[in-house]
Amino acid sequence: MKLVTAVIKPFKLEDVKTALELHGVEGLTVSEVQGFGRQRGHTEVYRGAEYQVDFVPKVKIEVLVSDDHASAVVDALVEAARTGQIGDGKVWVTDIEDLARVRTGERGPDAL
Amino acid sequence: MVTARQADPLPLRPAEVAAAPGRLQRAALLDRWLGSLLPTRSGLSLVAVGGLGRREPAPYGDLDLILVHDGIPDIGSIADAVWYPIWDAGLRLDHSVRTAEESVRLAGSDAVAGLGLLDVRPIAGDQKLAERLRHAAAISWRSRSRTLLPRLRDERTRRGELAGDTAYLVEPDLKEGRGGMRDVLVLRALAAAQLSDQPGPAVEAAYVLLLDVRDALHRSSRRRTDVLVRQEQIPVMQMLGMQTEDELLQRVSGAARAISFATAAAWRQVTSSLGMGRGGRLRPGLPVRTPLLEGVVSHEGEVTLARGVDPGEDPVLPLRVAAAAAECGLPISPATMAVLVERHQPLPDPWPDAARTWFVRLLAAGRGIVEVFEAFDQSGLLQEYLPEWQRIRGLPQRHPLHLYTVDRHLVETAAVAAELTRRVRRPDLLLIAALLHDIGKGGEGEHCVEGAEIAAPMARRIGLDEDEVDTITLMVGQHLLLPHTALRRDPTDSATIGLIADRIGNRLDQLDLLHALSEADARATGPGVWSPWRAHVIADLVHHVAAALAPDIPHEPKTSAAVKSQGSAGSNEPRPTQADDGSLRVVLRPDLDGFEVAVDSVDQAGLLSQIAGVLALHQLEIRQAAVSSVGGHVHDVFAVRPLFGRPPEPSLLAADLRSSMTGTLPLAERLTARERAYPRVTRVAQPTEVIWYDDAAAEATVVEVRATDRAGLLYWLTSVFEEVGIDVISARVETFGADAIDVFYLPVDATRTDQVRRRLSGMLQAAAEGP
Repeated sequence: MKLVTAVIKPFKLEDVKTALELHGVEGLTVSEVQGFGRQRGHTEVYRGAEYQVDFVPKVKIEVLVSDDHASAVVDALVEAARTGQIGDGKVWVTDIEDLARVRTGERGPDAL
Repeated sequence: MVTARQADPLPLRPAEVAAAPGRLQRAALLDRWLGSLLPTRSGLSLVAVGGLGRREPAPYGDLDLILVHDGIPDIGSIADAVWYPIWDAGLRLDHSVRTAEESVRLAGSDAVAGLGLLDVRPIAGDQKLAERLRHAAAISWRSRSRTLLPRLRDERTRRGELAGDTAYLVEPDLKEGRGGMRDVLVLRALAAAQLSDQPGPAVEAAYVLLLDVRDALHRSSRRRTDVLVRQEQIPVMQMLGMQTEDELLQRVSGAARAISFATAAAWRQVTSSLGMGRGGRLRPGLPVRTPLLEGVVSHEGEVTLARGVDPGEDPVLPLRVAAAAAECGLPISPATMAVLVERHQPLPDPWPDAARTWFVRLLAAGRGIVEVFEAFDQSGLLQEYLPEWQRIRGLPQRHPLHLYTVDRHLVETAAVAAELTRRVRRPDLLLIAALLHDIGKGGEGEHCVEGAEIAAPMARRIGLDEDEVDTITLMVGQHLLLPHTALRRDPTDSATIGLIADRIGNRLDQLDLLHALSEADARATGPGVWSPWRAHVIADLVHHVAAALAPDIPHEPKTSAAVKSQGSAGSNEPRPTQADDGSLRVVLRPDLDGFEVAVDSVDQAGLLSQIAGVLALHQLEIRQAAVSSVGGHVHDVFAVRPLFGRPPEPSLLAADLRSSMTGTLPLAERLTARERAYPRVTRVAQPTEVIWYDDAAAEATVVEVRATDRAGLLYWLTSVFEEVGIDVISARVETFGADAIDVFYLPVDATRTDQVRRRLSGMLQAAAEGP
């Protein structure tokens, strides 16, 4: 089992969700996060009011998938989240040791 | 797991308690079982307080029990024998062991304990002892009420603030919320102290409804809870034989409103009966009869009508009362409300200028409007002024983020918008759109679209002109445009920017309005909805769109007739009065909402600030002004409204103006003294905004000051220019309820550097905010 984690631009969430659903992903976790990569943060002045800070708002997505499915899910995610501009984000995959579904107590791949 | 420590008591399971068919049966079951736990012995009694004391225990509620004794030495082991089987049975227990005297002493110093002891009911053991306790508790409550009630009120206020309004929350707290069951117990306790009337049948019926809902909630969730959370609303509604969750919530809301209303009235009765002349006043007294607005005064912590004011002669009076109450955060006295309901005149359609002005001032008052809207809602006046309000009254929301019913959310949104008025050129339109933005909810279609259709005639009735109606329609129809787009479209994409620009008619002022409305809407929805993350995402979009739009520079005042006139008032229009001595002419002309003052004079340095000062000194509130100077001759037009009573004679204005021009009238001193004499009411504190515009006009730099309106504002602002020796070329003043937006055209040469502008900005801010 793998955990696919992606940090993407907020407005790409809908596209990514649709793409993952097409790939049979049945659930995902979304969080509102802030951070910076090469894009860095910047200060904007709008009507005399500085509105920003050091970090850029992003969305973090986490999806649990089976081992043989991970690569296709990453591809789909990258495809859907790309705008070609700086700040498009990153996707990474980590190994999952064990998994349990709270409601039924199922373990391992059955709980996916 | 569960072990009975005694052989005798029949075992009892929480499920059996919960399964009892009704509250009386449940109480009887518990009584019987608890009675079997108590050893027979004189001087010992088991009494119930709380729900069981009232014979209405909740299915999974706590047992509130007191073991009363007359000084038995080995009471500890007796108590263990009673409490342990209860704990072992898995029931929740709130217990104490006291002599009757200890109980009464505690109740005499602790308001909540005192309140609880009023419900004491013997369950088993020494009847006489229990009766003694009950009798002593009732006497103690009456005699100690003077000290206990203020504490009880503070405690209720604190709990109510934590739990919120039972009537308006989408997940209401049936017990501790304002208008919840606890308030009914307090009402009964106030009556028991003989300080207010017994709760009426409406309140008792409301109480029974809340009890029924709470019992169903316990049975459905199988646990002790008083908050009617969303996931339990369907099963609870079914258990009670209702048709929809909305029906359930609307009935809970109706019950809570009845309780809240009775509670507020009872506390007022208590406050005044305890406060009369005996020094035990619950609320620090305000000065007797302080004038607030024309015909409206504050008296003993309530807003009432001034002596001799007749609502039958002034259709706008209810709105002025509302604005005054909201601004100073005081309740409208029930007697005043009753007189307004009975005697008020209907407003014409469209509303006159004055009605709109007071309405906007009401909306600009911030938090204070919540209570005023509730009073107007309960009295029916709200539905009369805004019949469309009926659609969303008490309407629950089916969205996980929403905290309030639709009507309360709208009022909350207006209250938040009142903190954001500096961000926009038209505070009035922001506030009205905030109040109406969800008016389309509860229909079949998409609520933004329906809302825009409903809002347009409302805006017209309120008295807005067609351009303004268009803006309101746009804002209501597009109030989700920014948040939705920001989360779905690339803000740097020209297509996204084009889409937004197109929807808002390429107008920066509309963008500012929508941006402020988005924030107000989100902040009024619930805690955490307007997160810094969300604020940033939306600001980013707004920033990109704004960069693509042309700057909106405030337009220059026309040389004459710039003051918005309501036109001729008909053939019997009162004639203008004037004072004219050749070099100075002052004309006073009534218009529909006050007066127009026109001043013609030879120009001289500081003249504008002197005119503004003299008008303020004569208690004339400047609503609009257009001033200009051509070839050494000044023609200034002001729309003014007397704060109290009638305007002065033009000759008096001219005389004061002449003394001021010759330096014999100390305007600043007189105005400062006046401000000290009339303390300003509390409004939303917002910093003054000073915005500079380049390239606004060929020979002028434009500065716009957005500030809270107050007496003499224009005088203090223009004094700044006089002090630094800058001539104002022309100026335009507008007030929108509580906000003023003053625009000054200044010579380019005198205001070129950032250094000068920073200094002027600071001085203007200080001048606007006053001492």
